[in-house]
Amino acid sequence: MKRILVFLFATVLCVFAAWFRPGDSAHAMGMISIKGGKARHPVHLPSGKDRYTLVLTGTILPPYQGDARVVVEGDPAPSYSVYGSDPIIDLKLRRRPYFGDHILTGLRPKDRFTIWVVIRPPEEMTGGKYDVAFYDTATEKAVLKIPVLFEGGEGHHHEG
Amino acid sequence: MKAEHGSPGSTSFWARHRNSILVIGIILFLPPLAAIVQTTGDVNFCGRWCPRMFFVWREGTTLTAFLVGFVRSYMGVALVVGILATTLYYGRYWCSHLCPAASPVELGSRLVPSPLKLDFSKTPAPSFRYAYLLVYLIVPAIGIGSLCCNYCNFAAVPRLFAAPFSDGDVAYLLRIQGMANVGLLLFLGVFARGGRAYCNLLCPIGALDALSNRIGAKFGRRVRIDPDKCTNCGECSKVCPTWAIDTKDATTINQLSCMPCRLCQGVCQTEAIYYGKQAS
Repeated sequence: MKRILVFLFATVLCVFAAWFRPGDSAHAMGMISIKGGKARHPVHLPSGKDRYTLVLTGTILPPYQGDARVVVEGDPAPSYSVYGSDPIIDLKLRRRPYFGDHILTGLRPKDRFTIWVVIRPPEEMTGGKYDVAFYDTATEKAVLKIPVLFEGGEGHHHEG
Repeated sequence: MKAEHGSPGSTSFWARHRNSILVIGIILFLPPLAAIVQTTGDVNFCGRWCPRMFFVWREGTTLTAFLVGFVRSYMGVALVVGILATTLYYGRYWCSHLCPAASPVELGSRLVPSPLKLDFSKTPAPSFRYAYLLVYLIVPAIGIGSLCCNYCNFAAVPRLFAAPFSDGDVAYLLRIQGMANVGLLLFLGVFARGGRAYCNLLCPIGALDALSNRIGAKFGRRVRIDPDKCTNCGECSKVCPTWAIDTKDATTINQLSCMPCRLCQGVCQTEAIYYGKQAS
């Protein structure tokens, strides 16, 4: 009997944990290409928090190669930080793109990258749209834009 | 009977050097070195090395996209297949000796004084564990949400190690979900008696590995009890980190929770506990 009760309790608890999302972070995915790139889907976040964290993963579509600068655009202008995910002690076993000074360096076709974007919207903002944009540093053309939509209300649910 | 009797007396390499192997696993798999994952150009278990996501079917996923997940996480697939295959024959050595998500938590728990530790051993672990696994597999498929990624020990533990060196990993942790993961690792790991409640209750790899352990128990090597030597003193039960030993009537080991850490073997005064094949 105890086993059945624990099983039922754990099931309810885990379903709730799977359903509930605090809404201060999301996972966005995109593909960088010379034609402007493609976001898998826009990011939806509930407005009203002072800090949001996006983990942004992407791949490079051929024939694009080069360096891409990452910026967060929108009105009113947000405060933001972008961080890379590089080895701490780099054993240089494999070539990989690197991130520094907001620039992904050495991107080649089929590379994958991960960056973290921390956005702090202005206090007065209750909704609106930002873009996490990638610009090729040589041509200044956009190679990927990922829309980030801030919407009213708490407890918004989104895929992670 | 082919067995390694012993202990206090076990002469097995794996039993004697378990602590060293736990530390080696941390050095090889976790930042700042993470040498094993760097062989594929990665920095952590997310992506190619992810052992948890590829077998999760999400609502709206096509078969092609599902299979692409296996290709994307090919090292994770190899890891899980390797873990389950070796467990069939030799028991859960990945969980007990190598898992970099578990090792630092267990070692950390040894630094916590016993009076501060929480005892979860009254919880029927398999009931909780397989409820978790069921939700882990079914809930994404019907589109309610996901436990995968959101509550991931293979994401949280490497980032805890990387946080002193990397702002990106700090960003992972400074989210409500990141803090929830750390809280679970502390509550069910560092502050749990034995340091393995997280593994025992909330790890999908551990749940699959435990099934493999149970299935292979008939023909594989496992930690077992010789009933002729056992005095049912209960000392083994006190040190079992996965609360797999039941001493209520006769002492028995639940192979759905046991891993070959061999701590029980180390305290058995009558050498009743051994690691080996089932007696014929």
